[in-house]
Amino acid sequence: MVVVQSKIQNLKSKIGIALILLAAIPVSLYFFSGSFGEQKLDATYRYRFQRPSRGNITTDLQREIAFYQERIEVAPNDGLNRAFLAKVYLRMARATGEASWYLLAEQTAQQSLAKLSFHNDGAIMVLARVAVARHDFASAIRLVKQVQQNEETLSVLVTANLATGKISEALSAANALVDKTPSLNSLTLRALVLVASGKDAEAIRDFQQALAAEEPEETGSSVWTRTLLGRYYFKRGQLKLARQLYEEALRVLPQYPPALLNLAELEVRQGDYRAAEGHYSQFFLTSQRSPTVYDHVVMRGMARVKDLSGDPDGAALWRDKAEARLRQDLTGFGHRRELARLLLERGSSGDVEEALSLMQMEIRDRRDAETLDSLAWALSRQGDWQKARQMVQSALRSGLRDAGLFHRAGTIEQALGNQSGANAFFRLAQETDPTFDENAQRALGLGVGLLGLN
Amino acid sequence: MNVDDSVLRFLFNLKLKLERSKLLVNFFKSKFKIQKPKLFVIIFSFLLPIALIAFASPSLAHWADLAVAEIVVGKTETQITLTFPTGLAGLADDNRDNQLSPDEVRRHQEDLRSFFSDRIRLTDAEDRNGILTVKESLTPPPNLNITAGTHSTLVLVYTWPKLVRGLKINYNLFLPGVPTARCLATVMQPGKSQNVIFSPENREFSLIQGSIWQSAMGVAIAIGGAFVWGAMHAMSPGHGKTIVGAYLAGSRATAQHALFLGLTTTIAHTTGVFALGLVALFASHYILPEQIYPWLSFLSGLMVVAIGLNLFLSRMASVRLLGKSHEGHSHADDDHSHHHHDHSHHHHDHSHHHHDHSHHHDDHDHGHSHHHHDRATQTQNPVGHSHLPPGADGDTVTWRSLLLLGISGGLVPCPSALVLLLSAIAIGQVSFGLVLVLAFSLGLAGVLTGLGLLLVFAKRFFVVLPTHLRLLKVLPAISAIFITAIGLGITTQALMQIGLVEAILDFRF
Repeated sequence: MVVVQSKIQNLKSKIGIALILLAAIPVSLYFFSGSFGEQKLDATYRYRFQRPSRGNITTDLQREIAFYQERIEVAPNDGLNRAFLAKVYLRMARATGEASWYLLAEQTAQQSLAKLSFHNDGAIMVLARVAVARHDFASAIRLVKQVQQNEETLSVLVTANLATGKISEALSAANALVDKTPSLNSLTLRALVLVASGKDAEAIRDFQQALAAEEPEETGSSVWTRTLLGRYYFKRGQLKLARQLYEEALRVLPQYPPALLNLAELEVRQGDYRAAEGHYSQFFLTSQRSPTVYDHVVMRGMARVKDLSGDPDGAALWRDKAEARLRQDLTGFGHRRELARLLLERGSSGDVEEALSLMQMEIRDRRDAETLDSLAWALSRQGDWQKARQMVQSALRSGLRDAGLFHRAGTIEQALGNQSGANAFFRLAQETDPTFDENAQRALGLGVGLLGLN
Repeated sequence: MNVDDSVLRFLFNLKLKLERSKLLVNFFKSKFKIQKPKLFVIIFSFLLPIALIAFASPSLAHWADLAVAEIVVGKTETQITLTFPTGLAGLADDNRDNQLSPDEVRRHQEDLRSFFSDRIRLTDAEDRNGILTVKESLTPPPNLNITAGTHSTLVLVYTWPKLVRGLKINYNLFLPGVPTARCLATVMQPGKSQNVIFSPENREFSLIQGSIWQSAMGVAIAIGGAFVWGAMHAMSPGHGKTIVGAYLAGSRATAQHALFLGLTTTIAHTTGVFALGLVALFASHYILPEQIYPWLSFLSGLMVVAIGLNLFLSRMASVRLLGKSHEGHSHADDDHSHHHHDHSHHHHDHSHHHHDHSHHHDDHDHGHSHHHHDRATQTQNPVGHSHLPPGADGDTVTWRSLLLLGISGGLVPCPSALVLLLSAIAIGQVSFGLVLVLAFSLGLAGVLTGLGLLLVFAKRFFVVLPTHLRLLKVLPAISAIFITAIGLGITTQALMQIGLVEAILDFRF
């Protein structure tokens, strides 16, 4: 009996210890993760506010939607409430990446304008934003010009001009924007323009100032900036820092698609194809309800991963899916360039021909470095090295420093017999990204573009 | 959310979800670096039900397949402002510009009415169709219209002669042969607005709940589903099955022990889910719930190591003693009692079942030997048998070790159960969530207990084996080593997940 009692006592004390340990977990975890976080990422880049609860952003947006819908129900002919509602739909589209919300935002903005066709800048700006999302930059600029200039119009101008390769116009709009409001969003936009014009030091300064200016209520912009900065470091070969920034973005918003997809790109570059596949699968798992603007990036990524893992059948399957998707989206989201790159990756003679024709169409609308580079790729695959050289030189004129672009320029020079010129470009590629090697080339084109649109 | 709708959607989406579950498997496969195909199959079987429940549809549709609708529900009238791919109603697009102009709508009003009344049906609770009128939508100034020439907008008005109750929407306007087309609709009714996505697999939407009977059915299905899910989940790795198996196989376990162990594991698991659910709710601003799992695994792993080592030491001691005692005597010498139930075998005179078996209870101690050991273990206590019921020396089953084992086995709450609880909390159904977790845990308990019982009874088959085999004598010690190894594995894996190993390596190199 005594033995039993002592055993029970013993057991009680052990259970007590176990419970204390259990209770101590959250506390120790908080301090532990905090201290490791400090070691992992520079304090300048860390998100210092309370991060939102999971699903909070979309839940809040749903509440806002319900609020405006109720107001519309009370006053069905009111155009302004519809404009506000369209704006919330647009924010939902950007938060989820789901294409349906863009269409709903567009429809609601049009309804708003039908009911109130003057002094309705809010609705026009929604249409402009949707046009940017659909890569219809000309329409975006046309719409913005109908509205009185403000931070939002400047922001659209920066994006549209940058995407079409009009760097000086983009820079002047970005400067005006920063002068008006030196916020996280505006400084990040200017940093993007500076990167595109090859002014790295100034770009980094703007990125850092942007993060210093961040506020707790702009989580979307906070993760966007970190993801872009991560991609900048990725392009400079600082892979560890890039990873940390992507992970920081994902810590704040766990399923943020651009960070997730760029992380997958990084895994491909580092040869961890299983991890990359995991990130892509995770993306699909979190975007269940509706198509998103990122789907084709994931499909292409999966195709690349399958190829690199020695599964050509799987790769072909994913590439077909991506192709089907991109073809159907040509009218909606203007993915000519992405389709052309996919066709060039597959590389049959028919594919190359079609890719070239797509790029020749695309270049009429936009002449940014990436588009010119894609055209140069298509031309070089056709064996038209002289024209390819012209395109690459046009792309380089912006001042952009990109190892992939320098490498292409080097390859073209090599094909034209200019070995010294080629070597100079290969050196530039190494200076820009000291870790630029075959693995880096395998991962080219898998990230989400600097504009966050695809 | 309408439970019946969920069930219907579940069935409709089955095929597509299976495809999506492969993605989940890919994700976990990469996350946990699963290499062994067998283990992979087991995990797949665990992931499948999650995939079936969690997934809605694939995302392969595109802009030109999408439609959106704003549905305003009134007392006798419902108005749908529908933006759809113009190609769907190409019959009215006279000039083939991919846009339905107000003139075209007016000209083809009857055709359009007939077309849409077939494809978008609105009925009341008595299954009466609303009478449809098609109107052109107000359009903004032409210079602002940027619908990329793919979509048109129409206003569909459905009216009923009297007050509508139980409105049902049957949406069937999809491009033929495009299984991934979607329509995102916002439904506004007095005091409530909600979003719904129509797809070829999900064409129905009901604005009010079904009858009480239907709701009760839905609840029963949900509880039954949680139970089955728990049972299937118990088949997956973890939950101490291996440990339980190793323990029960290597000790003098009875059916009661198996039941007790299964029950303890379940209670620990349920408590763990509730505790973690609360922690996750309160701490979600600071930490991710999934960050807690490795710590729980770590704790659990340490407990398993301790139990394994404890068992190993005591069993090794028994084996050594056994060796010595075997040198000094033979089993023919009846200097200690052996009592074998339900079977007969060599070495012993089985006539000596002369003890009163009523003393297998917790409240007393005896100075004589015990009778629950089977043939495989009967020689484990050659000297000085302890009589803590039901077998309490280090070698045999003790309630304490069972309890600790049960706690360690169930300590790590499975994410699935946590998801169940947190989802229920998120939709404001806390009590229903608790019921579902309980059903889940009962399913888990059923399988664990069943496996335990199976092991206990299966041991009888081993009694015919000769006792003098050295392997059988050291089997309990081997099982203890196995438990320790599992504990070490769990601990190491947890440390790797926590990132401690990586941190140490970074620090060193």
